[in-house]
Order: sequence, then C-alpha cells, then structure tokens
Amino acid sequence: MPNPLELPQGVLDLLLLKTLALEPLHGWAISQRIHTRTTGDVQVQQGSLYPALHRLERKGWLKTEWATSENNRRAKYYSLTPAGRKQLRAEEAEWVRLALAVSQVLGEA
Amino acid sequence: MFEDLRFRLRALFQSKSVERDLDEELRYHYERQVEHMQSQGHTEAEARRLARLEFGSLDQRKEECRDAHGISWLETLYREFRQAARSLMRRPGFSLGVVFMLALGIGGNLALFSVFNGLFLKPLPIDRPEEIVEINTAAPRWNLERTSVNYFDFHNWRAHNRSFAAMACYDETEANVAFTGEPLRLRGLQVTHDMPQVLRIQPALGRFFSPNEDKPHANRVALISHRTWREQYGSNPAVLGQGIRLDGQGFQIVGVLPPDLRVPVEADFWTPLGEAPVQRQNWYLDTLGRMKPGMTSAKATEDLLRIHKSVPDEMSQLTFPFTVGIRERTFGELRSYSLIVLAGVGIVLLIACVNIAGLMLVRAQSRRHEMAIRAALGASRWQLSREWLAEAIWLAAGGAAAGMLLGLGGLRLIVSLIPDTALPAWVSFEADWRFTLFSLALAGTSALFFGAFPALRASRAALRNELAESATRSSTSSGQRRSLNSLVIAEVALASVLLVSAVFLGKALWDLSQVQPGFRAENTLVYTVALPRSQYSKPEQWVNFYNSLIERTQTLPGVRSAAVSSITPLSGHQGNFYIVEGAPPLPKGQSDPVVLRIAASPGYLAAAGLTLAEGRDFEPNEGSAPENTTVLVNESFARLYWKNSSPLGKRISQRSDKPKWMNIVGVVKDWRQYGLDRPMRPAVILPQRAAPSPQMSVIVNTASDPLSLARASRELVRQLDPQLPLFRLTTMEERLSRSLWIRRTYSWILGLFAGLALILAVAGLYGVVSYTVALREREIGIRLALGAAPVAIARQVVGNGAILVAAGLALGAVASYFAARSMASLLTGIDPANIWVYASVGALLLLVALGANFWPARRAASLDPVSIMRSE
Repeated sequence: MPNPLELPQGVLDLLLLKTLALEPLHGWAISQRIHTRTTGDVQVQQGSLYPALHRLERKGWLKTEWATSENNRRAKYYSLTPAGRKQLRAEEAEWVRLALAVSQVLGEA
Repeated sequence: MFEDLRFRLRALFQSKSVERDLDEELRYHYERQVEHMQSQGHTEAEARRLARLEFGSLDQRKEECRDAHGISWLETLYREFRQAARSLMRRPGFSLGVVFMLALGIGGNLALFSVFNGLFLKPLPIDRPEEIVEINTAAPRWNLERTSVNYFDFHNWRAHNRSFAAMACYDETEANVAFTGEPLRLRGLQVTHDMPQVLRIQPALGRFFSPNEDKPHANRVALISHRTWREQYGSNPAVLGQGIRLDGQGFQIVGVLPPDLRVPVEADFWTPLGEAPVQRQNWYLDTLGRMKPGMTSAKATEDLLRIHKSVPDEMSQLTFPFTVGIRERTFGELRSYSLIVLAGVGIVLLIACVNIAGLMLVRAQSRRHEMAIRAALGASRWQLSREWLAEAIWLAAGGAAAGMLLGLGGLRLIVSLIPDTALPAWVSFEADWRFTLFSLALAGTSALFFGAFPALRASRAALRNELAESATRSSTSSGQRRSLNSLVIAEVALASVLLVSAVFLGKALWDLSQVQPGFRAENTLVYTVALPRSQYSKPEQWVNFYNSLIERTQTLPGVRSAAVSSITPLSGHQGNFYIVEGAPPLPKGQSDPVVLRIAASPGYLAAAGLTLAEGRDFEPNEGSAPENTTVLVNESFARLYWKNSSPLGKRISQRSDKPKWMNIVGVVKDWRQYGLDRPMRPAVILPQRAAPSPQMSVIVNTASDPLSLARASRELVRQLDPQLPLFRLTTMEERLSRSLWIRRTYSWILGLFAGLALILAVAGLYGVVSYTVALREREIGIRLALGAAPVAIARQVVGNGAILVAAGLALGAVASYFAARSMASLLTGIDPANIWVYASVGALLLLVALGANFWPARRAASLDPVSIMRSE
C-alpha cells in the first residue's frame, strides 16, 4: 500500500462538507467515511480533523447536535447549515475547474 | 452572524460547558478508534497505544480546537470591559466621585424630563388621542383670546363641518347630593349626547344619552361615574333606573361611566346639556372635536371658519373659531417654564460631564507612560482609545443607574410641590419607555463626551513617541494644560449662565410677591354656597338666604366683617358688555371690551379689602328699587370711558336695546383679579339685590387665623339648611400662594440646580488648579530653592486660576445675556439689561473661585524644596 496522500490546503474542508452533505455524522464516522470513500488513499490525520470541524462550525457552515450514536453513546453530530451547502456548491465548482485546468496542463506535457 | 453571536455568547458565558463538550467529543473518538482497532484483531492495550499514537496528545488537539474558534470581538470586548471595571475598582474615590456627579446631573434631568413628559409628551388616556382637539372662539375686538363657545355656533359647526368624525360640548357643573349622611358637593359634566363618540368610550353599565334626551325639557337622566357607583352604590347593577337628587332635582340613572375616565375632566356624574340653538350671546361651553383620520388641526380650523363666517350676523363676524390641542391649551404657560428649567438641568449635566472629562484627562496624564509603552509595542490607536471608552461607559452606566433613583426621588419631590387640583386628573408622571430611552440617551451622550477626551489623548500617544517625553518627567504637556484650562473656562461660563438665569427667575418671583394685590390676603376666609333651584326658585329667596348668612356670620366671635360676592379675587371671570349714557356711538365695527361683572352685598369692599378711589360703597338694601340702581366701577373702567375725569354720577347700562341705567356711586382701585402677573380688566360691581345669583361666595375678614372659623361657618350653613354643602373653602392667602405655584416651583428648582452648578464648577476648578500645582512641584521646588518668595509662588497660582475664571465669566456674561433675553421672551418680569444681576453673579463666582484657588496656592507656597529634589 502506497503512503496515504497529503491533502492540499483547503481540500480537507471540501471533503468534510461533501461527506456531511448526505447525513449528519460524528467526527469518528466522518474520518471512517472519508477513509473508505477514497479507498484508503486519503488518510485524514485524526488530529487535524477536529480543529477543521470546529473552524467550519465557527464559520457557520456546520451546526452541531448531541445525539445517541450507533453504539448507543452520546456523540456530537455535525451537519450542514444552508450556508454550508452554498459553500459546498461553490467549492465543488471551484475544485472541478481547478482539477480540469491542472489535468489539461498535465495532458499537454 | 446570529449563529456566530450565539456561539460567542456561549463561549463567553458557558466556557465550562464548552470545555466539557470538547473533552467528551474527543474522548468519544478515541474510544471508538480503540474499539475499531480491537475489532481488527489488536489486543486492548495495543489498540489503545495505536489510537493514542495516531491521535496525538489530547491536550494538544484541544488547544488546536480552541484556536480554531479564535478569540472573537465579543470576548475582546468582554475582556476590555472587565479590565476597565478592575481599573475603576482600584480607584474607588475617583469612580464614586464621578458616578455621584453624573447621578446628580442625570437625576436632575430625568426628574425634570418626567415632568415634561407627563405634561407634554404622554398621550391622553383615551383612544387615538391625536385626533382630539379643543374648539374655541377668539374675539380680538373684545380683547378675548378665548370666549368659550355658545351653543348656537356649536350646533351650526356640528351640522355643517366636513373635518370631524364627532363633536361635542360640555359645561362643568357641580351639584349638592345627599346619599347618606353629610351632603356632598359633586363635580359633574353637562354634555351633549355625542360626547361618547368623541371620546370613543362605552358605558361600564347601561347606556349613554339619546339625542332626544339632549333637548330642553326632556326627561331628566344621568350617568354616574364608576367611582361613585363603587363608593355610593357598592357597584350594585341595580343602580340602573334608580333616582338621584342633584341639587334637589330628581334624575334617573341610566348608566355608569367607564372606570378611570379622566377626559375632559374627572366628573362624578354626567347629565345631558339639553340646550337649544336659540341664543347667540352666552359663551360658556367647552367643545371637543374628534377629527377624521388624516385631518390636521389647521385644516379643521379652516373648515370651521368657512361655516362660521357664512352666518350673516355681527357675532359671527367678530368671533373666530379655532382648534387647539388639549395639552397646549391646558399647559401653555407651563411650557416656557419647563423648557427653561430643562435647559438649566441640561447645563448642570454638561458641567458634571466637563468636570468628569477633566478628571479623566488627569488620569490619562498619569497613565501616559504606560500608554506610550503599549503604543511602542504596537497597540493601535483604536485599541488604546477603546479602553478609555470602556471606562467611560461603566461610569456612565453607574451614573445613569444612580441617576434614575435620584431622578425618581426628585420627581416625587416636584410632584409634591404641585397643588392637588392644579393639574387635570389625566396627567400622570410615571416613568415610561420615554423615560428609559431618555436615560439611555443621556448616559450614552455623557459617556461619549467625557470618554472622548482621554481616548483622543491616548490615540495621540500612539501617534508620537511619548516615551522620550515622559522619561524626562517634564511638567504637563502644553496641549494637556490647554484642554484642562478650556474645560475650566467652559465650566465657569456654564455655571454663570445658570446662576444668572436663576437669579432672574428668582427676582421676577420676588418682584411679583411685592406687587400689591389690591385686596386683602391675610385674615380672609372664603367659601362658596350654591342654592338648588328646586327649593330656592325665587331671586328674593337667594338674597334673603345670603343676607341671613352674612348677618349670622357677623355675630361669630373673631369676625370683623363678612359679605357675599358672585366672583371673589383670583377666582375667575364672568363677563358682560356695558354702554355709557351719552357716550358717542362707537365707530362702526368696533365693540366695547368685555367687562368683569360682579354682584356683591354691601360691605363687600371692606370684607375683601378692596379700596375706594372715590365715592362710596353700597348702602344696605341698595339695589332693591329696579329703577335708579347704583353701581361701582373700577379704575380701569373709569379710565376707559372718562380718561382722567370723575365718573361719579354718570350712568351705565348693560348693553341692550332698552338700557337700564345705573348710577355710578364709587370707583374702586384696580386689584389683581386674575393673578399678580396678569393685567386687570375693566370691572363693574352691582348690588346683590339688583343682580341676584343662586351661587355666591362668602368672604369673611377675621381677627385671627381665618381657618379657625371654618367649622363655625359650616355649622352656620347647616343651621340655615342642612341640605347645603359648603365648598371651595380656603383662605385668600392660600389662593394667592397657589396662584404663584408655577413660578415658585420652577424658581426653586432652577435655584437648586444653579447652586449645584456652582458647587460642581468650583470643585472642577479646585481639582484642576491642585493638579496643575502637583505637576509643577518640581519646577516650584527649584524656584523656591533658588530663593523665590513663597508669596510670589502663591500669587502666581492664584493669578493663573483667576485668569481662567475671568475668561469663563466674560464668556458666561455674553451667554447669560442671550439666555436672559430668550427667557424674557417667554416670561414676564425679566429685564435682561439689568446689569446688577450679572455683576452680583460675577462677584459671587469670582469670590468662590478665588477661595477654591487659595488652598492649592497655599500648598504650593509651603512646598519643601529639599524633599522634592530628593524624590527625583
């Protein structure tokens, strides 16, 4: 297995928003979800996950709620706010443009 | 934004629970990771090790999360305010002093504002009060600003106007009523049937009058007030249909008025006015109109004028209907005083703020080293200024809180100075949202004002490097001294304006109290007795009743003389028109002025203390012969028709097509019928027998305290007729004093605040001069060491102070003159050119100010140069 990818600046935010677009999740589940969705290529540093979540919460893109988790314990669930959804759409579009541009350059070479 | 605020507030006020949440969240993750590892085949210990390795230090992560939250503006603000509070707590003397000064200023303003609010701002306690106006007529030709309304005009306006949703008129009345026990004198209103539509009220019980009941000779029906219903009938609904005897006449109660009805005046009962639009000359009604929505007072007046002037007779051409707000007409006189006093307390607050600004500036000076260091370390101008503003806001909040208490206390005091029935019952002075808003506005403006000085200074410190400057411990910078000096000058100027205004107001009151009223105030008792027409239908009965009352009163011990009169001094006006025999017909279109008409018994002049200029008083039984009646006139009347020649023997008559001539037998010196500051109108006094009235006032000249005869007088009236109450019993002295209550109250208030301003200004001056001396200690020490005479030092300190005071006084004199001029335009009895007022105030201020300079000067002179040099 190759070493997991280092995430460029800002991409973690996009991944978090996208992951939460489907359903509210707690932090651990988010990290698992990203891990499985990227088939292990992206390993979110467990430590950097929470500061990022808290930062997004502060920006008003995420809201939080305490609820009972699948293993019957209290866990803090994150979900998108309307502002968060808007941000996700914007970042998605931007990412696609960036990826296209980058792959175009790479393709030319 | 809102989310953020909620989040911040939580971080601020629930920091413990925020921490707990963070801990729990991270722990949950850790535990799940451990379980996850175990499920992949690791032993528990191994799983824990791996999870911890991957996660890193829990505390480290927490710190990162906290950083992610960042420090918000709210937390910064919170810290700054906490910091400012601590800094103020460390200087309790300074803080309490400032709060105290502010409380005085704000409290005074709030108390006076409440009065103003109650009189002029609060809406009347009725539905949509802004639509209500009073309608009256003016008659410039008769020299009457308000004639009151006659029913003919009212009827005409009501029928043809396009501006009013409803219009009603009323007459205040009184009636003797005996429920059980002692007969009572109740206050009532005779109203037209449309009054409920004007006031938009529903009866608490029963119904209002029908238009048919509001006609002459209709069935006699009445409504009683809610209070009367409660107090006399125990709130029994069976009161409907019962009879009530008002002045001996039976009325049927058809309804109960709504509770707390205080507009237009508080009344115990309502009866229908029952007038017919026939007579043109009886102006006695008050009229209220409810304008249609969107209608203005000016347009309504236009509408009324249009209707009024279309009536082709002389009366309608001489009179002019107009509309006026109920407040304006009730409190017109109070407005000028209120504004003057409000301006006065405003000045007190301003002086307090100036004082505080000076103190803050001194504090800023003592902290400038610290400020300079922080500026050098990169604190921004805004950051440094903010600290001072935070302090200012704390101080203002404290001052406002204490000021509110003080203000409410002051308000109580002022209200206690207002005579009982001097204001309509609907006036209330209770604090409302306007009061709160005004308090906040005052506190905010004050904080901004006295916070701005040190804040500006602090931000300047950030601009230039004061470190070097302060390291040399030079004496105060010239900029700082200039601002302190200008503050002192401003204070002295403001205080002198207030003092001058107070002295002018006080002098006007004093001058007024020196005015000879022309009647006797001391040892004079007055009261009124009214005879119900049901038992006393004939004029002879009236005259006989009052004559026997006078006779019996004169036999009471301690009575010098007694008489009855329809109108006694300071008790209002009844007017009529008179013509003079043989006088040339008046130019067309010009009318005679209204003449005060009094009917009195012989001996009235002596009992009331009026003086004869020439001629004689009535003789007993004079006036009983219908022809050849005699009459007295006052000097104003005599001057009007005969200039300087004597009117004795001339004849006058009430204006009529068939004159009944009356012989003038005496001229009475003018007296102040309407108040000491009001001009006298022409007046005639008729003998009671020639002009009998069923309501007369008894006036008794006593040998000692007039009120000691009150009980005996009541007993006399009871002996004559147990059904008759006696009312409006008072002394002439009391009446005179009451007639001046507005001037007196406001003069006291302004005087009080002027004193306060003086104290504050002197305290400020003292503070600044002491501070300047303290800063110059080093310089003074050197000069003393070099052999300067202590007296010369002291002289210099006093001289510096004196220059400031002189500058303040010069500025104040100019401002005072303009203040006095605007006061003179509002009030009578003020001469802004009276140089003595300015001179005495200037001398007083100078004297007190020099006293304030004396102590710092003494301190400067007695400094010990050696110890000062050592402390370097």
